[in-house]
Amino acid sequence: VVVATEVEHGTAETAEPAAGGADGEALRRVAGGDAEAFAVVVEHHQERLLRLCRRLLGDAEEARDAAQEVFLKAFRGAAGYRPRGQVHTWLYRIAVNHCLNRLRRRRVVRFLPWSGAAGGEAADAGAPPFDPPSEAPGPEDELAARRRWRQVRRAVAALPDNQRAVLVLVRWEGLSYKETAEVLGISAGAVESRLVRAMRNLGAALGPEAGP
Amino acid sequence: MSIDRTTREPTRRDRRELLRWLAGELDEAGDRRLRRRLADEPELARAAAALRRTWDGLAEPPGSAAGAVPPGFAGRVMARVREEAAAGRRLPALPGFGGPVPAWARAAGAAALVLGLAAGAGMGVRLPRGGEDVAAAAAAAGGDGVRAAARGGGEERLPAAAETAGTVGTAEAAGSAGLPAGGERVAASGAADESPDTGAAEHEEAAELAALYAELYGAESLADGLATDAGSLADGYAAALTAAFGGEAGT
Repeated sequence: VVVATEVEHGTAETAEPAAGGADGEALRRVAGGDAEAFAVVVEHHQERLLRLCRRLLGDAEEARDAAQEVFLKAFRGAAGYRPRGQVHTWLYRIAVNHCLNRLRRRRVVRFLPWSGAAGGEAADAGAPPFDPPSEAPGPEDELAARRRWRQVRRAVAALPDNQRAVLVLVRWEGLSYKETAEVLGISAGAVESRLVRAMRNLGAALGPEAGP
Repeated sequence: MSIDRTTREPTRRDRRELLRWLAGELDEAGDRRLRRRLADEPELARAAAALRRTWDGLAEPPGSAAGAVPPGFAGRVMARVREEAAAGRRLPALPGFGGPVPAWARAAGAAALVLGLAAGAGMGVRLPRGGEDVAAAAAAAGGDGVRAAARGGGEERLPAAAETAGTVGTAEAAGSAGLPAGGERVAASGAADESPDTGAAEHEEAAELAALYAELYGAESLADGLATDAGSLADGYAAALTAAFGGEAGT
């Protein structure tokens, strides 16, 4: 069974078969001592893990380090992988835990790209490149869109970690409640509760005019 | 009644329903039902519109995900993987990992774990009340000893262990837990602790234990070491007893 996951910006990603597929086979080979087999896993999942880490951490450079660490953890844990679900769900779980732990270790919140704590353009250092829609009619719209996106990032950064994780997985990664629950190791009901709270917080932070 | 008349806000139930709709969680029948209600209930429709504005406002600008993979990223990852493989630092298989670790080393590790936990308990280091993180690590490793210890109560967590075990760590901070990923970072995180005086002894204890695990298993963190040890804890006890008293102790 091949599962197609529709992600944002019209990119369709084809996930591996439920039993692990080529990735599962690669992990089994890694567990058997074939380290080179891990290249398949890296190649298949690097984009989505980098994107997830960036969304959770809000910093492109830190996301690269984090994603690398996530792959290394996956490599070390390959023998513990059980093909119950999809490999990407397993990797997501490692990545979310790793990123949340990184955020906790920071202690001091410094999501410059997310929160714009430093204000102004400096706050965008390391942020995902902003490429306004081509249909944007003029610089004023571009400026407004840029300002709005900065406000959104700041509001998302202010969410508690557990709410942000759910929001990122459901809203941006396109995971279902069930998949998100699997990744986070919580119930689907808890996913929904966190999402409701996150949206309520965002609604309050962004105001009634929030919108694209 | 879908709107709370006192607050003019949608009820909790309706808010959930609207979010399910936005997230694509409603089945066809649920979607039809909600659309009928939206047509009939203007206040619900207004609430839905507001929620949708917030939801749509979260859309990343086009192009923001472009270039997510920096050139050479996979190559760098694989270089690290090869380094680890060559150095033999990869942890042994989680289930039943006997591997190359000699019995005396496992015994010493188990004894150190027991002493560390006991000393930690004596000095106020408390294990998780819910024990989810450690329990998850123990569950992944098939060990009951640490899981049982995790149920013992307390607030500290072992987040790094949970990462590969599959549970989201809920630690306040690895620093405050005194059990960060990597013994070498214990001192640093101890410095960040809000109560360094009371935590110094625990950090020192944790650092020693982490160093021992690093030596025994090549574990990168104390938590990894604990997870590794969980599966062989029973063997460790037996070997420790045998080493201490000889004969058939512990068998």
